[in-house]
Parts: sequence; structure tokens; C-alpha cells
Amino acid sequence: MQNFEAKIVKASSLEELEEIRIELFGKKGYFAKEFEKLKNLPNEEKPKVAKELNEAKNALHILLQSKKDDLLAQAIQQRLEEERLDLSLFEPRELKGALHPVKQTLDTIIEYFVALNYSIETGPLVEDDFHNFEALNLPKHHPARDMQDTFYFEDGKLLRTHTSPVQIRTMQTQKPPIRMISPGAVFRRDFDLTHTPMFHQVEGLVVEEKGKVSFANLKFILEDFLRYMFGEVDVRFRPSFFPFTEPSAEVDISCIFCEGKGCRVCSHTGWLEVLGCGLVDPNVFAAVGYKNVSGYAFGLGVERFAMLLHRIGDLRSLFEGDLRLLEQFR
Amino acid sequence: MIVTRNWLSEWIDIADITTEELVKALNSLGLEVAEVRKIEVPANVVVGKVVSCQKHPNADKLNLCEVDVGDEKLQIVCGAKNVVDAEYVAVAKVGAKLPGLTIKPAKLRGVESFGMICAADEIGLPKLENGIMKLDSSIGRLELGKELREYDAFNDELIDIELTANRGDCLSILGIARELAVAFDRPLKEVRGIEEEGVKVGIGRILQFDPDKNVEANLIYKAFEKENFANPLLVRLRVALAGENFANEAETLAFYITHSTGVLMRIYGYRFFEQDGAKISIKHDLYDEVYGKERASVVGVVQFDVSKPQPDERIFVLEASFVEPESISKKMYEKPLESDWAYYRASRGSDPRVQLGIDFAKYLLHGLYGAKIYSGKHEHTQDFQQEAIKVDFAELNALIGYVIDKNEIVEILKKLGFTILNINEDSFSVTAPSYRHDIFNIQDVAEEIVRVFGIDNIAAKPLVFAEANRINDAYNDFQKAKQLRQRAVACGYFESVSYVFTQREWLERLQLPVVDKKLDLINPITNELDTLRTSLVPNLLQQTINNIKNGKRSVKLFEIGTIFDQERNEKQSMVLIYSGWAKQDSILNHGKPQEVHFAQMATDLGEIFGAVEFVNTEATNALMHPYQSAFIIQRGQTIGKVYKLHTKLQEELELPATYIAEIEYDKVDVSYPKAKGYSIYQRAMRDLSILVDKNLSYQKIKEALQDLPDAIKEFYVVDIYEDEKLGEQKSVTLRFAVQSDTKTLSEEEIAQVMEQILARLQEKVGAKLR
Repeated sequence: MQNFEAKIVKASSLEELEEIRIELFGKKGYFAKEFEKLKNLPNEEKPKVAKELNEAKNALHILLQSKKDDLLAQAIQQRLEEERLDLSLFEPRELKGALHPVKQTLDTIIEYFVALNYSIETGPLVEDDFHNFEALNLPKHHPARDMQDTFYFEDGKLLRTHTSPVQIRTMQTQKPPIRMISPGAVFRRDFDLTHTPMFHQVEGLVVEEKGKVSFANLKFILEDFLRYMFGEVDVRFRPSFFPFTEPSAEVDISCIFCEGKGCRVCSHTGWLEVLGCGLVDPNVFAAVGYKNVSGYAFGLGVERFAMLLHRIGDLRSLFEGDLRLLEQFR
Repeated sequence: MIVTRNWLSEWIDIADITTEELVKALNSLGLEVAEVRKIEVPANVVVGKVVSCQKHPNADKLNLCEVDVGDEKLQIVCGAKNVVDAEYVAVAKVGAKLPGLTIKPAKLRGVESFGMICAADEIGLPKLENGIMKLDSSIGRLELGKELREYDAFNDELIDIELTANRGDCLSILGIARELAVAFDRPLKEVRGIEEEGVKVGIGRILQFDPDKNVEANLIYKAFEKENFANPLLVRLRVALAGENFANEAETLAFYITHSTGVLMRIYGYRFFEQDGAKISIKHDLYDEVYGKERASVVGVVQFDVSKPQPDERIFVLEASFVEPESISKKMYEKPLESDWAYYRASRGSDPRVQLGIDFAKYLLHGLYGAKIYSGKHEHTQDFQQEAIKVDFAELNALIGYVIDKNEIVEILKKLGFTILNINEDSFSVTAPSYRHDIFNIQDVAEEIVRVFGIDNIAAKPLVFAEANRINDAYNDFQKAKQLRQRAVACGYFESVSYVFTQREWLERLQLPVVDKKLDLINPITNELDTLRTSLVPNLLQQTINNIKNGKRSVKLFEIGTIFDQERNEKQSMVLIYSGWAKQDSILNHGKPQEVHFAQMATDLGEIFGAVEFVNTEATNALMHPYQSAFIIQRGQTIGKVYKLHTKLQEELELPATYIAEIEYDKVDVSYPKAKGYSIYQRAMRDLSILVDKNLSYQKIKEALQDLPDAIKEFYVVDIYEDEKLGEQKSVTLRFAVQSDTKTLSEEEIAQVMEQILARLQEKVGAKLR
């Protein structure tokens, strides 16, 4: 018996243990033989021996089972150890790419206006003088044409200098009420630190019947929009001039870098100019044959927004596909 | 437009207003302040008087001066030529800290010097002359030893205002002062009308006047006499601060009066008009032109040098003019002329009150210059009538969206110099002052009200509108692009934006189409961007090259953008470029990733566009690899092509292996598919290995297996094997999914289907069972 206990304790594998089990409890095992021997004992001894035998059998059984549990646990433990892996080695190197900051900013802007029930309208990049200038109250001799350096084509067409011609095209093909934005690329002959020959704008236009749309409405939508884009900023409207709006204003936000205290980015003014807007000039409505209407329009430069939102220093870097910049946005 | 506090204060009292308050007021009036700059002479620079001046004993080019600075006389060595006849000068005493220089006692060529006689640009002022700055009493009474910075002109603040094109009326000190007078509710200082003291004879005695009848400009001429005409320091300093620098002294004065009053001024030399007596003729052709011996000037455009006064001129002819801005702009558009500083002001609208310019000139000439003025004037003027605008109070308030009190509206307009004509309960008529050229309708009037009332004081108010379905094609397209862009990003591509311009030569070299010359750009910005792109590839490829040069080993870029065809029609394109290492170097590839293989590009295209297949095609330009080019088929439609960059080009551009997919964006289908039924019975997978000709394209096998029995749900290739034993053949292993829609197929039935497939392959592509 002692012998068996020692054997069980010493067993080092489940197979060995199974052999011991058969040796003990098998049909021809130790206990089968011992019980067989009972027959030959005198009757008065039988209960005692049988009892002892049963006790020993139970004890060995329990011992065996507990050894089996141990060995099973050991086996799992061993497998676990075999599967040990230094996960810190596997920082992923294949990451997703990234949306371009200008396009991503454009998405954010579009989503706001779509949520406010503006339609998206588009127009051609190659425009004619009428849609890009004349109809926007910019006759050929207008001094404000100086402001816009234009790319011209051999056949007299031009690359649109702003997204405003889409206003004209939309008004020519749709009846009021109109509630639209037109996002897209625009072009000016200017190439230096702060100008690229192509950039992106979003134009907004709302037209309703006469007397309905006011400057106060314009103020409301733009204040809300700018806070959606930039968080809790102060918004300032400054009277300004655009040929296609009257009254016109430029819109500033309190500098998001210095919170209005004055820094290099805001030229120490505490304000950042981000938008131009105004009530649509009656001459623009006249050019598209609209009568008895009122409306507002606004326009913004997407690169400017993207640069402010994502702290990008160099405008030109936005058009270079440089992964050293783009990788930062994934 | 440049103003200074000191200059402004000649027209309005602003002593009690800080510059910060001025800037705030200007901004809120719509006059955007671009810059504020302090003009301040450093301390220890004082008024001095040159008592004596002689040649330096050891240096020809130096002078040895004795300078009285009040409490002492200083010996100073000075190198400027013009010190010889100088009287009052700016002296930087020992200890003065000038920009970039601290004054110390010095020995110059063996002679001691205790200070420096300064040029204007040495003490933080703009350059005024060659040599030292001579002081005169135009800046105030000269007291020896007095700090220069105690004179207002030398302790000033410059405000640079970015004027909008409509505000020609603000192109003068008076114009800005007028706006400030409204903002701070205070009066302007009157231009002092002067008695014409020291008057010479009448102008008519020395000069005749002969204007054509149809001259359009308003013109007034005066004459004055002055020996040794020279501008006082204050005038020269202010003109220099305003950013101008004229060779001609009289032109400097003309500019000064113009910049002060907003009235266009010219000064001519009298001798220019002298021939058989003296006469000014004004001829009207398209422009109004002033003639003496020859053409002297074009009104509102340019003055020719010949008519400008000579240095020894004694009699001067002064001209104040006005032309209608719109009319002069139109003329310049029809027949462009070379112009000088006056045109900018004329085209944006100068002040039509020409007499105001003359009055101010008289005041200056008599006072500051000590000139003698001829009595009388020659004049050709007519009234430019401003049209009355009818303004309905309710309409005005509806435009603004805020109810502003009627009295306040009227008050604002009056302050701005508007004339209120008929006023009643509901409306009024108003005319703008003559110097405002930008007021035509009620919205212009509304702007005036808004900018003076203050946009800040108008409460924002949401617009109430009727809701409508505004989802259109452009919106759907926005969503489609967003979907594709996000999928490409998920595959590791970076979105790029490049110019719609590219280089014609580069396109031609790549054998890509170019925009018809007759439709191309006239005025490109650079030679590298001299045409419109007909493909996104050239610019994206350039970006890839740059990234590789920057040390990137794996480049994945894409762009969705507009391209043009030969006829310059626009369409949207999407290009993806996959260049260099297929994967990043990492532990997974022992730091040695392989170069991209088409398989990886194909996988990406599947992830972005869904199930696609590739149909081999020929190379059609210099970009495409002749043996690795294919059309991309999505949902049965060709949506573009994919190819390996041609090896020759790859080597020339020093690029690693590069794959390019060009997608015809409009053809990509991202619509949500419709469901079909599917079989609920067991699906069996069966592999079939066949031997076919080594050069047989898998495409042929696919074609052979079109219209298979319904029980074949799909098939694909899982292995290709070639070896010497197979000789001119290769082994292709195809995997078939066999499944009936109506029952679970028995082994025999499956075998039957496979038999059919084999028979088909034997027949169509000569395949043998391996």
C-alpha cells in the first residue's frame, strides 16, 4: 500500500498515472485481487478487512484523482508557457493612411451645412467672364478686379477665382427659395509663402422672398458655424466690401492660439480673419433676373480653416503630398 | 492708406483717444487696420546747431564740426557732404542708443569726436535725403538741446489701413478724420481759409486758360511764386512715412496735399506753358489732357516729367482736379495708359470738392512755404449731382434684421454728411455727400447704418425657413467620394491634393493627352505648371518621387480630383499609387520587406472597390508596363486600369517598383446591392488540377468556364505549378464550390458536375487532367 501511494506521488505523466490506476483498480488490478481474497477469510473477519480495504481503496482513489488534477493543471501550465509571447514586439507597423487635412476640413464644413438643410451645388472650374465677374457686380473696369489675379485661356475663358459663380449658376437654374453651399477648388495667379495658385473655398447662399433674410440672420448662422468649427470662440464682424454683397462684413474669431491675448499667428491683434459675408447685392439678383427677393452669401477659404484647426504652418505643404506631413493625421 | 496720429490731429482732435481705441473704431467702421507702428526717435538725440564746419586735417571726405547743443558745444566729425551748409541738425550725443549703434566718444583719423550728426534713417525714420537730416521749424520751434522725441513729428504712431476698393473717400487724412469724427462724435477742424496776403497780380495776367467745351473733369488752376522752392522737413517726413519718394520737390508737395485732403493735385512749372504768351489748354479726346508746349498730363492718370517744375523754377501752376471714378476706370479699360500715383486715387474716387484742395494748398503755401500767391483762378467745373435714394424705414430694418430707431438712423446719416431730403413717418429721401462714390441704393444706406450703429449691437437671429428635401446628385457624390476615400485610407493610402496644373512637356513625354493649344492657359504661373492636367498621375508620381527622395521606402498615395480632356472638358478621376516596399520593415519580415507585387495592389483594389477582376491589356502610354497592364472590372463594368510603372521610366525616375491604378470615378458603383436567394444545402469544395499550355492566360480559362451549371457557385485558382517535367505545360489547380439550390448533392452528382467542367476545359483550352 505504501508502495502504491509513493508510486502515485512520484508519477510524472498522465500516462504513468493511468497505468497505476489500472494496476490498482483494473479488473485484474490489486483491489480486484484483494477483494477476491475476501472469500477465503473467515466470516467474522470479513467485515473488518473489507472495511479496511474499502477505506484504502477510497484513499488511493482520492490521491490518484488529485494527482491527475495536478498533472492536468501542469500540462495546461506547460502549454501556456510554451505559448508565451512578447506582445510588446508587435506594435503594428502597417497603419491606416489618412484623409488630407483640407479635404477632411471640407467634409466637416459640408456636414454642418447639410445638417442645416443646405444643398450642395457644384459648377465647372473653367468659367466664363459673366459667371465669374460680370454677374457678381464686377464689370470689366471695376477696380476690385485688381484684387483677383486670374488665369485666362486662349479662348477667353478663365479658371474660376472663387466659388461664387456657382451662386449665379444655381440661381439661373433654380427658383427661390435657395439654400446652398458650393465647395470646391478655385484659382488665382499668386504663388508665395502664403498663396498657392489653387486653393479651396466654400460659398454659401440663401435666397428667400423680399424682407425675409436679414443681416441678423447671417450673423446667427455664421456665429453658430464658427463655434461648431473652432469651439467656444468670440466672433467679431467687421464691415467690409465685396462687390457682390451689401452690406458686407469680414468675420474674425478670437485667436485660438493665444485666446485673444495677441501672438505671432494673429499678428498680435488677438483676432483671426476667417470669413467674408454680406447681404446679396441687388445688382447680383438683377443679373440673374430675380425680383423681390432677399438673401445672404458668405465664403471661406478651406486651407485657412485646415491650417488653423490642425496647426499647419506652411500653406504650400498642403499640395505636396509629403508623407512627413500627411502621416501625422492618421 | 497710411495715417499718423500727428498728421490726423491736424484735422481732428484725438489727443484724449488712445491708439488702441482709434484702431478699434477704425476696424468696426470697416476700415481694417493692417499695422500700427511706433515712429520714435531714440533718447539723447537732440537739436543742434552747426556753428562751424571745416575740413578734417587728415581726411578729405570728413568734416570737423562744432555743434552747439544748448548747454555745450561738441566737436563732431561728420562724413556727410551736406553738413557744409547745414544749420540745425539732429545730434546723437554720447550714450544715445540708435538702432544697431550706441554712440561713444571716438577718435576718427586722429581727431576726437563726441557724438554723431544723424541722417533720418539712422534714428528710426525713413530715408529722407542723401546725407544728414536738416531740421527746420516745420516740426515746431527749434530749441538747442531739446530732445527730438519731444517733437510730435518724431514721436508718432503710424497706422496702416487696408482700404476696400469702394472707399476712395478714405484715401486721405481728412477722409479718415471724417470717419473718426463720426465714431467719436466730435467736429472736424476747419481748413483755415486765409486772406490772400502777399498776393501778386491776378493769374489771368500771366496765364491764359483754354479748355475744350466737352472737358469732363473739374479743374481749378492757381499760380504761386517762390524762389528756391524746397519742401519743409515735416512735409518730406510725412510723404516718406506714407511710403512715397519723389525725385521732384513740387510733386512731393502735390502728393502731400492730395494725401491730406483727398483732392487730386498737380504742380506744373510755369515755363512749360510759355510760348507766344502763356496758356494752359485742356483737350478732350477720350481722356481730358492738359497741354502747354506739349502734353503736360492726362487728368486723373499721369503727369509727364517735362511739365514738372525745374529746380530753378520761380513760378508754379497748381491744379486741383476731379474725374468720375467709374468713367476713368472705363477709359483705362478701353485704352490703357501708363499711370502714376494719381490714377489709383482717381479710379477709386477722389474728393470732387476741388476748391478744398486749393484752399488747403493756399494755407500751406502761405504759411509753411512763404510763397506769394497770385489772385484769382482759372476754373472749369460742373456739378456732379448725387442721386436721391428713397429709403423705407421698414425695409431698412428688415434688411438689418433689427429695429433701429428712426431718429438714430437719421442722425447716423447726417453725421456721415448725408443730406436728408423728405422725411415722413415711413420713409425718407437721402443724398450721399459728393465725396462718397459708393452709395447707390437702400442696401448701401443699410451698410452705412450697420457700420456706424455697430454690427456687435445687432442681435443674431435664426432664419425661419420652409424645410425642403435638398439631397441631390452633388450630395450623393459627396457621400460616394467619402466612402471611397475612407476605404482607401483604411488600406493605408494617404489622400493627396495636387494642383490641376502640370507641365505640358511632362505630359507629352509620358505620351498622355494634352489640352488643345487653342484652349490652353495664356498666363500660367510657372513653366512647371503651364497646362491643365489630363491625368492625376503625373503630379502624384512627382509627389511619390519626392517622398522616395525624402527617404520614404513605402509610398501609398491617392487623389480624387478634376482632370481635363483635349477639349478641356472636366471629369473626376481617382488615382492610387503604391510604390516601394509592399509592407513596412518590421519584425514580421526581419526588416527586409519585399517590393510591392501586383498581388498586393490587387488586394487593395478589392478592399476599396469590392469584387473586381482584371483583364490584361496592352500598354497605351509611356507609363504602362507592356506585360503588367490590365483593365479593372467592377460589377461587369470597366472602371479603370491598373499597371506597373514602365521599367524604363521607373529607372529614369529612380523609383522602386510602382503600381498605379487610374479609376474613372464616375463609373465606380458604390450603390448598395440587392440580395439574391441563397442555397441552404451543403456546399462541397472540390479541387481540379489540369495541365494547360504554359502561356495560356488564366483569363482564357475564366472565359471557358462562363455559364457553368447552376450547381457551381464559384471557382478560383489556388495553385500554379511549372517544372521541367511538365515541359511546355503548366499545372493549374482550380477550386470549385459545388452546391445545389434544391438538395444536398450526392458524391456521384458532384463527380458528374466536375466531369462536365473537365470536359469543357478539354474542349475550350485543351486542358488535360493532371
